[in-house]
Amino acid sequence: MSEFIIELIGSDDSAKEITVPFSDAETLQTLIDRVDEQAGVDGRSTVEAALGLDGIVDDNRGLAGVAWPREATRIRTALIEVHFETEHKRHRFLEHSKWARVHQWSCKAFSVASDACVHLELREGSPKGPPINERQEIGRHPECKIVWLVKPGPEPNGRR
Amino acid sequence: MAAAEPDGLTKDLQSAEFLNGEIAGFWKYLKRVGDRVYIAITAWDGDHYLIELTCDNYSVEPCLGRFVDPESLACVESAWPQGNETFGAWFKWQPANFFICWPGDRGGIAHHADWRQQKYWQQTGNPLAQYMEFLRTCLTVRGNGYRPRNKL
Repeated sequence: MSEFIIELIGSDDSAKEITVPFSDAETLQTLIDRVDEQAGVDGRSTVEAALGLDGIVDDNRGLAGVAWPREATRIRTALIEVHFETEHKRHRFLEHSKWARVHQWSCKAFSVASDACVHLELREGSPKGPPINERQEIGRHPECKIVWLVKPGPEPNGRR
Repeated sequence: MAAAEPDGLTKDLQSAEFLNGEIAGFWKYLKRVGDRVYIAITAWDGDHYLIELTCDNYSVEPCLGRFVDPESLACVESAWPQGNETFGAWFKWQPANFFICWPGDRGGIAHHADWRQQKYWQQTGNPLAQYMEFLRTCLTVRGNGYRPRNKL
């Protein structure tokens, strides 16, 4: 077994080290899911940060032969509480990740099908709060940031 | 002498609803020429489009929106955001028939006379911000069918 060591720095500058074990026989997707679950932080962005990638092309790639960092991957995180309908979940995301990652993660976390996910958007604070620009970075939030994943009201046109 | 009261369009260009959209990076006011305002709006892929809103008789009548070329300010097909059938229900980018099919737009009402009585553009008290929010929703919620013109 190998170890993926993550040093999580909170928005309040607190630091916590988490070790996630993995084997060469596993895939990137398995590791991403394990980081999400064991470290409570967005696994995809964390693995991308460790490997210095902008995006993972093949989730099913095996971990054997991946140039893995020997030292801990240090990441700054923000705590986000996402509300969807009657549920809510808290998770950590990298401060430099885009809000689009929160949207993607939330659809998976709340089991929203991909064809329904594309009709949703993030709003700040409440279902009718200001829309969040998903192209922008999450940024630093000293306290837990509350967002809602909602379907915006329909805009009429000649067909409806 | 007291300063002239700003007109309704000027007030709405300075309103919190409009400025918040700018701060969030959804759109950017560029200029005003008489009753026409030019605002750049960003789609989910990061591409920008330039909307020209003709707002004479502002708030009494709806604005007329057209997408225009950023250099020439001409209304040409390449200036219009395009997409699938869902998106095409709002945006008519065919050169012979450019218009925005939405009850808050003057061109939309010209094609659907029954919309006029709804006075949709007066429903929020800020027709400009309402118009920009409509465009933002169409261009940033992927399910509305906008299709990027540049390969991602």
